[in-house]
Amino acid sequence: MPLRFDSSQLFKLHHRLCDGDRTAPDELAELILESLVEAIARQFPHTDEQIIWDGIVEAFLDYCARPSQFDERHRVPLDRFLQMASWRNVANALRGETRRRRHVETMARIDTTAAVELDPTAGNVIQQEDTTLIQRQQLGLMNTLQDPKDRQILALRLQGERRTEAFAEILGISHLPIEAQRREVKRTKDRIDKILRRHGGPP
Amino acid sequence: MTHPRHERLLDYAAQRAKARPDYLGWVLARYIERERISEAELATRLGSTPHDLPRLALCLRPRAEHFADDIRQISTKFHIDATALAGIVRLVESLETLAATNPDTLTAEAGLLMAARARKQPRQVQDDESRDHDPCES
Repeated sequence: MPLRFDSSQLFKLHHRLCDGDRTAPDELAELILESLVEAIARQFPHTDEQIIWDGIVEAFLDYCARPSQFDERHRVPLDRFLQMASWRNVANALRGETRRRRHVETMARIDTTAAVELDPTAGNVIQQEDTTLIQRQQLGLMNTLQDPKDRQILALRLQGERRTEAFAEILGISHLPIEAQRREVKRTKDRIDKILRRHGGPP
Repeated sequence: MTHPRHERLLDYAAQRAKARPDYLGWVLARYIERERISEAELATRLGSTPHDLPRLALCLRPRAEHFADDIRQISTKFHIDATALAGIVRLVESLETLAATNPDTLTAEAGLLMAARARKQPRQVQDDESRDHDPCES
């Protein structure tokens, strides 16, 4: 990565952040974001620029909000630390994207199968039964849940959604601090899993 | 000379900061939403320009226990009106507290609060000053 900074600049900014400097993120962003984009884009060639920017910016904002997550004693430079965090975010996003795509493909296959004019052949009957079984299982899981919000959350999870914000929106807690949102979302998911397990469904 | 991508990245980061309560961007976004004003109008109220808003949005939110110092630090760096910034942050914090205690009454109480703020702004600033140090003081 072509460096636009030296490590002492980053070191100073890190200490300013740890000391509670409110304006340091702006300077750090100026210094490091572009270099991170170049480094991560090289690690994920042919990947949508948006996904790369998202991963980097989220890692950057996470770090600035909680600079203590970077521990200098590990002897990893800050730019490398941010690069690793960005890489993780992008890798997670791509995994989520793959899962979502697979789900969409499965649903599309199901739709296509259902749309095919059925001949009274055994193959089509079996396919139709499989489709019905999947739909019935999903419907069964939904019916297990009484609260409409729980149902919406389950539906999102079945679609492969993982972002806290998406669940927080359903729960109406987007106004809370992100940590509080995470806690509440996790609590809700655990509760739903418990209900599903109690009724014999898969968590 | 600034690289266009560099600017776009800063803008993008500032946009994302609007979704994070740790950042001043979140506070400013809530204020814009409540007051139903444009970014240009916000910049005017702060004595700034829309061009500076993304950098301002990337600042961390002032801490309750260092409120005056944090406001002063931000306003000094960005050459903005410290009193206006303090008022905006305090207003959004009040709305946030209301929303946390009773989301149902938020809309009604927010309206009352804004009306009170509009009437009593000079007094509110005085109150802030007596509680903390004057953010305008150099």
